[in-house]
Amino acid sequence: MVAAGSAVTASSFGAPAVISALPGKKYKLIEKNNFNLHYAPHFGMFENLAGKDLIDQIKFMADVGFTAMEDNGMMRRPVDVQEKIANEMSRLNMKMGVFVVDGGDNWKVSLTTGKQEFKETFINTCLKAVQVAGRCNATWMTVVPGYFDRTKDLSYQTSNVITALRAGADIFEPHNLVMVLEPLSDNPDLFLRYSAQSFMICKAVNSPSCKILFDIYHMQRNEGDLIKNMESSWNEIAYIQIGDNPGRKEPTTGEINYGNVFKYIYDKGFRGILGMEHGLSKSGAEGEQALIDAYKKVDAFI
Amino acid sequence: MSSKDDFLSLKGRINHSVCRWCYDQIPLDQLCTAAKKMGIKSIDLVEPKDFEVLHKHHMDCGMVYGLSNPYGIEKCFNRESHHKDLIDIYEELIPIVANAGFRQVICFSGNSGGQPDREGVDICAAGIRPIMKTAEKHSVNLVIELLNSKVDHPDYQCDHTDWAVSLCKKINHPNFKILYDIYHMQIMEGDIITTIKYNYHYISHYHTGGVPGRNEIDETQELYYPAIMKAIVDTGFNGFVAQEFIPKNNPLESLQKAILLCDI
Repeated sequence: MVAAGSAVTASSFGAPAVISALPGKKYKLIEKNNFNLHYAPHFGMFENLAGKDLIDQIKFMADVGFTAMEDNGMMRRPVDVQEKIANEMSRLNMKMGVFVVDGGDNWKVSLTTGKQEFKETFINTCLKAVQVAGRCNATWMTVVPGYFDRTKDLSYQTSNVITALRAGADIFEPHNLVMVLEPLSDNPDLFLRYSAQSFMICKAVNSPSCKILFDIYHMQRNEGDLIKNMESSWNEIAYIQIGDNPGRKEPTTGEINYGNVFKYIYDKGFRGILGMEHGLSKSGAEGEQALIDAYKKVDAFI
Repeated sequence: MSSKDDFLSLKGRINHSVCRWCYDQIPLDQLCTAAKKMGIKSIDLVEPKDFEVLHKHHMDCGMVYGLSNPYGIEKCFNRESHHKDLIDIYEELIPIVANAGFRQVICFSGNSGGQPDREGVDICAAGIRPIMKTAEKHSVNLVIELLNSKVDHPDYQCDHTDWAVSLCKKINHPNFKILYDIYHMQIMEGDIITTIKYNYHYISHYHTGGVPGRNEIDETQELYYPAIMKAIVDTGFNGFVAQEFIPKNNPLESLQKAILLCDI
C-alpha cells in the first residue's frame, strides 16, 4: 500500500545538484511514500536525482519516504563526515543501517585459521566499530568471517570462527550493539554460506550481539527456499538485505517474488531494517525513478 | 458448445502442459476439454491406458508415466537388481509412446538408501544405457526428474541439478534428458535462472509449483514465474512447461491464472 504523502519538488531539497543533474527541468513531483517496511538505500543510489552531496542524498531518501539508510563504508569516513551523516539522519528521523566491520581480512583466509594475528585484528576492528557506531547511531554491523582455510577440517574452522566471534560479542554486548553475520555467495572460498550454518554459529556464540544478516540475494544463490529458511533461522535473524537474482538489481528484475517475501517478513512482525544492497537495472535518473517505482510495487503487499 | 472465442489466446512462446495428478478429481476427459480452452496443448504424467482420451481431444502428452509397482520414484535405476525389470518395462513402453505420437517418458533415480552419489550415477547409467538404442530408434526421450529430498521425497537421489547433469554426461546420449522441476529445485538449490542458463542443453521439460507449499504459482509464494519463463524462452526452448501445483482455490481457475502468468 502506498499512501500519498506530501509532494515535494526539487526546489524543496535546496539541492542545486538536482537541478544540474536534470538541466533545464524541474524535478517532477515526488510522492512521499509511506512504506510498510524500513527499506534502507545507500549512498550513490540516487546520485542523479539528488546529486553527489551525501547530505542531499539523505534528504532525498527521506523525501521519497525511505526511513533508513545503510553505509557499508562508514568506518572509512572521516569522523566529521560520520557525525554529519548521523545528525542529518537524526533530524529526519531515519534509522541507521549496517556498516561493515572490516579490518582488511574479510576477503581472505583469516578467522577460520584460528591464528592470533587475525583474531587481534578482528578485536581491534570491533573496538573501532564501537566508536563508529556510537558516532553514527548504528546498532547493527556486518561481520564476514573470511575464507575457508582448506588445510583444516571444517569443524576446526567453525570452532575458530566461533572463538573469534565470542570475543567480538564480548566487545559489543555492553554497548547493546549487534554484529550481524552475513553468509555470502560471491565466491566459493567464503566460509559463511548458509542460513543453517549461520544459525548454528549464532547459537554457539550465544550472545544477543551475534545475529544473522539474511541477504535474500545471496541466500537465493546459495540455497533457495527463502521463506522456509528464514522461518527456520528466524530467531537469529536481526537484519535483512535485498537484491533480485540473477543480476543483484532492484526487486522486480529477477526470479524472486519480493512482494510475497516482504509480506512474510512483515507478517513475522519484523520492523527492523532491510538494506537495499543491490544495484540499479537502468542507468541515470530514469533508473533511479524505476528503482523507487519497483519498491512501491513490491511494498504493496498489505 | 464452445465457439472459437471461448479459447484463450496465448502468445505461443511457451508450450503449456499440465500434470494430470494435480486435477485427479476431474475426469481426464473434462480436464482435456478445459485445458484446451486455456491454450494448453498437453497433459503430463498420463499412462498408456489413458492415451485414447488424449487422442480424442488431440492432446499431446509432454511426459508419459509408465512405471508400475514396485517401481517408481523411490525404487528405480540406482540399483543393479532393478535393471532387468526396468529395461523390460521401458523397452515395451517406448514403442507404445512413439506409436501414440508422444515423445518423452519419465524415469527416476530411486532413493539413495545410503548409496554414495557417484555410485548412484554409475549404476543409473549402466541401467539406462541399454534402453537408449530403442529410445533413439523411436525418437523418444527418456527423462529423469529432479525432485526435492527435503519436503516431498526424503532420500531421493536425483535431488540436485549437478547430479542429474553428471548422469547425462555419463550416458552421453541426446535422447537422455532432465526434467527440471522449478518447485523442487527452489527447495533444494535456489538460483533457478542461472542454473537453467548453464544447463539448458540437458533439460527437455519443466515443471512448476509455488514455494513454499506447492500451491498456486502466483503472488502468494516466493518465485516470480514470468522472469523464469522468459529465461526458459531465451534458451531457445521448444518443449513443454507443465503446471504441477496443487490448487488451493478453484482448480481450473487457478490453472488458467498460472497459464496466463507463464504466457510471457
